[in-house]
Amino acid sequence: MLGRGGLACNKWYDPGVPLPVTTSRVRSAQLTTDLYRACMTLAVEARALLVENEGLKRLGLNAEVLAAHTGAEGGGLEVIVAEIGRLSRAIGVLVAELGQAAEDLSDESIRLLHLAHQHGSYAGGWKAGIGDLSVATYRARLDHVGQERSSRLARLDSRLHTIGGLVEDLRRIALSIPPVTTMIRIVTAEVRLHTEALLATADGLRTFHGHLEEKVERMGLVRCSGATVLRELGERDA
Amino acid sequence: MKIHKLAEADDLAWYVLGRDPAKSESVIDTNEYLIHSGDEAILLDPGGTEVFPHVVSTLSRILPIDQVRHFLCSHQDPDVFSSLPLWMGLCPKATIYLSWVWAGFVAHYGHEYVDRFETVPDEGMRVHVGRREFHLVPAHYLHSSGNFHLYDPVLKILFSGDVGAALLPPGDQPLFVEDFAAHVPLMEGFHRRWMPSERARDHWLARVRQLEIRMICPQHGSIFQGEDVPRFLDWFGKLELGSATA
Repeated sequence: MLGRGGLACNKWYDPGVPLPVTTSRVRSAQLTTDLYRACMTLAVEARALLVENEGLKRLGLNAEVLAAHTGAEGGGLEVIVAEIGRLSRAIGVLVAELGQAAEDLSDESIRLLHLAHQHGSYAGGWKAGIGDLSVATYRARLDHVGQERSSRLARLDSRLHTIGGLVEDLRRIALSIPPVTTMIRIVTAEVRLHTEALLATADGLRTFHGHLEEKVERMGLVRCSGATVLRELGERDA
Repeated sequence: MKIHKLAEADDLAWYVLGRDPAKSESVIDTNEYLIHSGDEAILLDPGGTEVFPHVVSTLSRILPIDQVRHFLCSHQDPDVFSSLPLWMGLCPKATIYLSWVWAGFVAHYGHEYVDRFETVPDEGMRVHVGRREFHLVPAHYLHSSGNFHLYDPVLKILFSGDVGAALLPPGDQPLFVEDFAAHVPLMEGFHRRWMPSERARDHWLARVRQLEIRMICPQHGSIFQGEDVPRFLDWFGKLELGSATA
C-alpha cells in the first residue's frame, strides 16, 4: 500500500523546478513601500501646514485689531488685513485639499502594495514553471492581478498629478506674501502708529513665508520621488 | 522544491512537498502535504508567502491547480498559511478548514475569503475529499489554542502539524527519521518551548493512541514511520513541556 515512502527509499524526488527570480518581487515591494512612505510624508507635511496656517490667521486678526485702533489713519492697514485674510483662506483651502489628496494617495498605495506582493508571488510561481494542466488557470490569475496592478498604478499617477497641481498653486500663493510684508513696512513708515506691533506682524509673515516655501519645496521633492517610484513600477509592469 | 509520494491506494495518494532550496535561510523549512483523491485534493498547511511560488509550481506538476478544493489550516501561524490569499485567488471555490477560534483573526489575511471558511468545532469533524473521508483530530494547545491534525483511516497517516516537528540542520536531510535517538535533539528544544501543556499533550496522546498509525507527518522536519511512531509517542509522553525558557 505504501508508495515510494518505504525505508528503502528515504529520498526526496527533485522535479527540477527552476529557482524563480525573487529580486523582482522584493524590488516591487520596496518601491511600493517607498511610494507609501512618500504619500504619508506628504500628508504629514500638509497637516503641519494647516497648523502653521492658524498662525497666519492670528497675524491677520492682530492686524485687524491694530487697524481698528488706528482709526481713519489706518486705511492702509485695512488693505493689509484683507490681503492676509485672503492669503490665509486660500492657503487653508489648498492645504486641506492637499492633505486629503495625500491621505487618499497613501490608502491607494497600500492597496498597490498588496497587489505588488501578490503579483510578485504569482510571477515567481510562473518563473518556477507551471505544469501544463494548470497553465490556463494560472496565467489567467497572473494576468488579472497584473491588470489590477496596472490600473491602480494609473490611478495613483493621476492623483499624484493632482497633488503636483496643488503644490504649484501653493507655491504661487507663497509668492504673494513678500509684497504684503513690504506693504506693512510702507504703511508703518507712513502711519507711524503701532510701529512695533506692525513690524512684529511683518516679521511673523516673513517667518511664515519661509516655512511655507520650505514645505512647498519638500512636498515638491516628495511628489517627484513618488513620481519616480511610480514610473519604475510602471516600467516593471510593462 | 522537492516532492515525494508518501503512499497511495486506489484513487488516493499522499504527497509531501518540501526542502525548498530557493527559500531564504531566515525562513523556517516547512513540509506541505497534498492528498489527492479522484478529481479533488486537499492541501494541508499550504505554507507561507515566501514558499508559495515553489509550492504552487511543484503542485501544478502533480495535478491541475483547480482540483485543490480544500485547505486545512492546522493553526494560525504565518508559516502555516500566510499564502492563503494567493491560493484563494487560484482556487476561489475551495473550502478552508480551520478552528473556529481563529476565524476572526485569519480574516485579517483577506476578509473576502471568509465565506469559504468551514470553522471546525473543538471536538473535530469529518472532511470529504473526492470519495474519501478524513478525520480532523483535536490537538488544542499543541501548540495553538485552536489546533487540528488530520488522520487518514485508509492509509493510516496522521498529519500532526507542529507535533513531531524538528529543526533540521541545513543540507539534504532525510525525508524519514532514520535514527530516532539522533533525531531527538533536533526536536526536543522545539517541543519543550512550543508545547505549553502536558494536560493537553496527554489528552492528545490518549486520542491518537486509539488510532492505527503508520506515519506521523509533522509540518517541519522528518516523518516518523513504522516503529518510530510509537517511539515518538512514548518520548513525547514523557517530555517536560513548557520548560525551555530561562
